[in-house]
Amino acid sequence: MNGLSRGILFRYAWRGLWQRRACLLYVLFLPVVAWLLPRLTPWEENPPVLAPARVQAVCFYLWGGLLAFFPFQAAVLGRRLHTEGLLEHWRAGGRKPWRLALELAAAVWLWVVAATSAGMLICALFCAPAQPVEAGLWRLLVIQQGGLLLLVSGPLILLAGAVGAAVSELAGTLVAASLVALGLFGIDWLQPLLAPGARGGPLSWLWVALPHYDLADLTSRFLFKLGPLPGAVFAGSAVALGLQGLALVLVSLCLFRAKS
Amino acid sequence: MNMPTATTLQIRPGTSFGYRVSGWGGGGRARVVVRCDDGLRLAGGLHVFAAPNGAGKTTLLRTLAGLLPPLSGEVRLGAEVHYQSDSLGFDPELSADQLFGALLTAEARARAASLADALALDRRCRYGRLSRGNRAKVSIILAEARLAAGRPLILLQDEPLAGLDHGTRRRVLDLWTEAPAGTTRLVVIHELEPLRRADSLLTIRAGGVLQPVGHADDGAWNALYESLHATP
Repeated sequence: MNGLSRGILFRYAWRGLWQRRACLLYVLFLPVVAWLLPRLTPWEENPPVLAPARVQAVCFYLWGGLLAFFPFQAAVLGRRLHTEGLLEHWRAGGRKPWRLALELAAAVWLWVVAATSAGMLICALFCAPAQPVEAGLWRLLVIQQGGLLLLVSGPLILLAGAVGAAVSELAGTLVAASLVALGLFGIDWLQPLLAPGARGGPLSWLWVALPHYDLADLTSRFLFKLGPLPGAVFAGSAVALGLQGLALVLVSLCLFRAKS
Repeated sequence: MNMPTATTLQIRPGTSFGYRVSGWGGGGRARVVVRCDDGLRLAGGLHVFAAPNGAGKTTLLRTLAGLLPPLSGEVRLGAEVHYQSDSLGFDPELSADQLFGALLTAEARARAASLADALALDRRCRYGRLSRGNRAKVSIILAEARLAAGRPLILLQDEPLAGLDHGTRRRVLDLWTEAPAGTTRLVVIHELEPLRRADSLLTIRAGGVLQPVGHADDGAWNALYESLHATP
């Protein structure tokens, strides 16, 4: 024992995030959003849309968090640890930079897990269809959505934290937010230009390298009750997003700077 | 060269410290700030490092901590390093108690709590609301509490006494001199009290030469004191 707790950066960062309450409020606000936002619409004209609208509100809230809130938290945390001199302090103590980076990201990612779990619980318990077979398929879709969200969020948080520590809070937030925006919305615009079949060669490779977070957004399947993704499609999406996430993790670890 | 003993800090003869000039025109050129021509070996005890501002103390300490590579030669450390930079800070939203809870093991935490009481630190006050002196106490307590774990440490502390009142400085010096045998502590200071109680003194002479200046009992201490406090 060297007097320092295990997972020291994780514990320290998590304690700070808990003390600030911002992440806690984000999670606690999720049920409010799921209940309130659908009721701001003229839902009385067609009451059955209330449940899908709740799902849409939850998904919107979670993706919104992944677009801005969580990357910002990670980037601010990374920058703060850098300016406080703690990254250097722990680095001098022999801790590996990759471990510091992963602990930093884990402290924020835990809140993503909490928010995603809360969101998926709301979807599964309060928005599921009444018919038992449909409800079973609905729950499977909920699990798929939660899994894909968690899969893409980890590397994004790590990237934001790494860039935040190395450059600035703003840079960390913007880099991660840009990737999410590109992966969710930009990909549809770029598909006609870059997708395999449209053009060959390097453009196709660029298409492969672009973030495909649209694969992880199953909101439309909830809204139109399309059921869960077929096993092969889900596995393909998970592998593609996992490989992209792995690449993002490697880039993040290269960018992370524990020393000034 | 023999392997260093448990908490020995060794600088090989001919080791130089500094940094590489970056940017346009710099081209990675080495800028030597401090040289250790004869080598140095620090074993357990309190070693005080005093030199004028800008002489290269922090650069040397950062190199010893492994945060900068030496420009030439080699530094060998025989134990885990606890590096406390002069700008080390903590989460302003956390109290000292919360910091100790997050950073230390249970045993070290108990030691930290008793040290905080001994140094009159309000453990429930948020770090961001503490005065400069009380913030310095937090850093000092974290370093001292780690020693309670019994594992040898090399403590590299950059101006840890800055901002402390006279009485607290004396209590901290008592802690330093009572530290477990085998603890090697190299402290950069500008205060006078530690010079008298140190096991060895180091300074940076003209030309950036790192040099031991003898024990506090001999006349070398007075010479060092005069040189540090001479009006330019």
